[in-house]
Amino acid sequence: MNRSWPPHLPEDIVRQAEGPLLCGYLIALEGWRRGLDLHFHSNKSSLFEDIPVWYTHRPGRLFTLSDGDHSVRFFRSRGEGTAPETVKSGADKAVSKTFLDEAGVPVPRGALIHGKEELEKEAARLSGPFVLKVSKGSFGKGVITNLQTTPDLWKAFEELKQEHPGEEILLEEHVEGPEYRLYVVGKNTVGAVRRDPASVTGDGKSTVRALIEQKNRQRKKNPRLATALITVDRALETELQHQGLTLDSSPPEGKLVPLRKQSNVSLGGDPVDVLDDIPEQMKATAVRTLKAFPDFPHGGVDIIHSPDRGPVVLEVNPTAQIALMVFPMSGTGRDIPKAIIDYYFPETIGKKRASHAYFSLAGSLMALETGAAMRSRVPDCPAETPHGIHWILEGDLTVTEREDIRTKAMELHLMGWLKQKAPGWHLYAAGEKAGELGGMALKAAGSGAQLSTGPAFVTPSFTVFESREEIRRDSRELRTLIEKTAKKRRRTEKVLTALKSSAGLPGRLPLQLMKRRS
Amino acid sequence: MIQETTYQWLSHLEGAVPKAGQGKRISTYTVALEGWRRGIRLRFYREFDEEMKLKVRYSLKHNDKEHHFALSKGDLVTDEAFDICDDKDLTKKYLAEAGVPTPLGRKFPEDSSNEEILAYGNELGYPLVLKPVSANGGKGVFANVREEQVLKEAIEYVRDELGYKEVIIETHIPGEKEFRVIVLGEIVLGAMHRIPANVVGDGQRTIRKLIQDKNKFRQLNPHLTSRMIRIDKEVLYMIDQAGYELDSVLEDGKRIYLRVQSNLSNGGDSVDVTEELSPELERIAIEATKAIPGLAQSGVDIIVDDETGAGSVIEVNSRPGLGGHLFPMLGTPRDFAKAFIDYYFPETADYPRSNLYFDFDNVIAPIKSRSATMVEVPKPPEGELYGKLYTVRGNVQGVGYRAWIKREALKRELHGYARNEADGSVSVVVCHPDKKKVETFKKVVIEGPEKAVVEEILEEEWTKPVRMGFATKQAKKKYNKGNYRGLSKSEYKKVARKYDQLVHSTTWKMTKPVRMTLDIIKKIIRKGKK
Repeated sequence: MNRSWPPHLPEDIVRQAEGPLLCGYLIALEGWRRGLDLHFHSNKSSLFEDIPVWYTHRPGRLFTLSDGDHSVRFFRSRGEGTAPETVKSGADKAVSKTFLDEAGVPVPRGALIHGKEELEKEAARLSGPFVLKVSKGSFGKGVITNLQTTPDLWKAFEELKQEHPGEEILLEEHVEGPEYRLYVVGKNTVGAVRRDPASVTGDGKSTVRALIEQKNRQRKKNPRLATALITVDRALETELQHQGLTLDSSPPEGKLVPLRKQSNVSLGGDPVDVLDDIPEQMKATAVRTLKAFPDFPHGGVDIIHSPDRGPVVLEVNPTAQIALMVFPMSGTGRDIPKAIIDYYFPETIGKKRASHAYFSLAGSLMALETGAAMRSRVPDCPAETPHGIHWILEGDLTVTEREDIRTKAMELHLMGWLKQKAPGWHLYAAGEKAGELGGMALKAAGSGAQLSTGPAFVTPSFTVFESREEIRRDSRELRTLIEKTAKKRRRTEKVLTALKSSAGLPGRLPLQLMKRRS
Repeated sequence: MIQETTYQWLSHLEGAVPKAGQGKRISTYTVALEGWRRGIRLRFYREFDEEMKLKVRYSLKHNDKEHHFALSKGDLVTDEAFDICDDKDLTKKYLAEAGVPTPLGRKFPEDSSNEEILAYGNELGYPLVLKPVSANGGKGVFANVREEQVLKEAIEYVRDELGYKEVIIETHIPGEKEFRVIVLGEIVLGAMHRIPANVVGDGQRTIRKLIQDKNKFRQLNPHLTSRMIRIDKEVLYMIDQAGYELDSVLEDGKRIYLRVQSNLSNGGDSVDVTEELSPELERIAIEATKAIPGLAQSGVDIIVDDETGAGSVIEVNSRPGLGGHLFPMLGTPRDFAKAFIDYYFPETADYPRSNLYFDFDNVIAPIKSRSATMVEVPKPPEGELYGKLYTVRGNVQGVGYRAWIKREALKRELHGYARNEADGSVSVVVCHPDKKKVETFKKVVIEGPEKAVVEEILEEEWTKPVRMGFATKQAKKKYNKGNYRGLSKSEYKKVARKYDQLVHSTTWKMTKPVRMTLDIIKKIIRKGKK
């Protein structure tokens, strides 16, 4: 599949932040690389009291970026420019629709339903097929599609009422067409993906089950999709049944088998970059959508492109996932974090970005994670892309030697890392005195060579990476060594004291041994 | 003097010093803790010194007033004052100008001639002390030099034979007693006396055993946990000088000194002598502090003349360590952390003090590993805490009891811990400002998770400090010899380091032939058996 992602966001760096932390990390990283102060906050902080946030018991979702003069608070991908009321309206599909209607943005026709009479009346007024959805649902939950007749509608209505008690339910005309998620910052649409429902493509041999596994392996390579795999459940099997398939049938080569109705990425959907292909009219609709709300500078818009009505806005998302546009399944990855930081900190637009620096997310959150701290500041980003030297060290380094290298690197104020890569170690150090460290490491390892010079991805610190197996192996070896040594030492001491107390009469020693022999 | 066997603790600091706050960070931790416990916002941050070494600093902010601290020194001590104190020569000049008694003298750089130094000595008058600037274990120090001829020889010996070119000459003060007096503003807070590492015999134990036991005792003191008496050449020399061997038994009541210098880091003891301080010495300490402009707080070292009883100021420190005062080896502990915070934030002097303490280990770990430059500590809950200790017996270990208690405690915002004890019971400590919450938690403790069977509960009040949050603990595990399973990464590194040291030690290398012979003998015996 054809795809290109932003080169300054390589996989192994982005991988530090999976799932719900990813979008926040991308924005935090972009701001930090431009020299902004980055602080992470725990949910004990009173700083975020006036901002709607959720699931903040685990840190990483709340952070602030500041340039000294002004500071911007972020919850995941949403900056403080978005008004709290907008967040609330955005979460409620019915309320969003009234805002959009007023602004003249096309939305699916429909109404809130409270009882059977109302349902029948509205169904008669609108034309099918229909969709019933819970007004405050998200992640594709609480949505029933493709409803034709009034009895079907009523059954679905009852079902939703039972599953989501106390929630308002919305009846809408079904709009046919491909689904898009656009991301708008200010006056521009900066990202657009088509959301294809989860699907597999047959190869004539493999079963559907095997194809799903294959697809999941591919998704695992994508930082965003790794935590949104296709799961086999009843809904998926029913969908296959409708097509006359089971998990064990083998679709013919090239045949596309859709697995779900919903196109949500979290349910296995594929985001495909289409920013350069969609009509300008759709982009303009997205920009107008945000304008319809009070204070909504950046966010996501879900649009269906209907053949007869053109772009129709389904819902808005003030806390939208941006990672699926940075790392789409195919097409070009768009630099959404850049656009967001440009919006909040326009004075940093021309500034050079230290595109090879990154910070350790786990390290920054360490003190927050344990509840020991409320706020943690990430070390400043090095001003320039660090150029360093890369060595390959042959021979082994003991734990002590590795520790010494790390200490020395800290002393010399170098950035870089030391990694094990068979058959030896790889050392990368950036900074004025990198040569000094290299010399020391080469001496410790015995032999080695300089591999290359140039930039590499580094944190503003020096890290020694150790593989888990290595630690296990080492501790096993060490254990036997210590046991052996301790035994020998004890014996030696015994002998020495024996020699000492017998005052030059070593006769005692063999005697002891003789005893044992008999 | 009697041998120390128990400590007096300040009750609010007992057991409240996490590992990272022990030893050299004790002033940082205790002053920060005092402020934090009063509800003052506390942030730790990093700074790099001239050698690019990372230093942990902290700031306290209350009602828009923020103060920055380095160890025990707050920002009311000016940079100028700090620089003056850092330069002993300059300090002396300021002291002399203000009429504070201080041994007269000066430093001579490498390029000054022997004659020049001798001439200065004559001018100063005898008795004199001659010492190298980079003195090492008292080597090359000539005290009580009484005439020109001796001084001349001493200068030649120290500069030409020993090679210490930079020397100091000052008036000799015949005194053994040295006081460290803490001054804050214009008030003397207290004083301590440092004595070099020593042991006192009991007629039964050998000196080696006495040192071991003393180290065990030091281990209990959060200020001294990493400051053990190591048996090295100097210690062996001192024992020899006293007429003993390492393995000889020391008579009852006999004290021998193991080092010349009284540094606490070298195994020295701190003794509180606030009561012994005469008004005269207090006056000197205050005047010495006043003599240096911008010095709001200080630790003044005063030596007392044995004959006349007059004091002379040897040194003025702008950021004295508080550990020796807060956790003395002998005598009353003095809470100078409280005094310091009172001085910087007088409006908080009457605020109630929480008996929680914060997780300092986890707070500074990211700063030390350079993954954070600043960490803010969450504020403690308002009001005084009421605490209870529940000792739970029954089938409560290995059934998820602690994890369950932790979840329930966190739900109720209780602070404390659950610890598996060696006897199979679990100790549960819970604290909260609301007494009722703590008492109703008993029900939860009795209930336990599904698998647990609680048979008996003992309860008592808990007034000791508790770490903020809820922790699960394990009674200290002892690793038996040969059992290294379950070593954590840090423990493993420690052991690995020790092993490295061991196999590279001279003894190990020297005993190699012995070991080899033994191995050969063993082989022969094995063969014989077959």
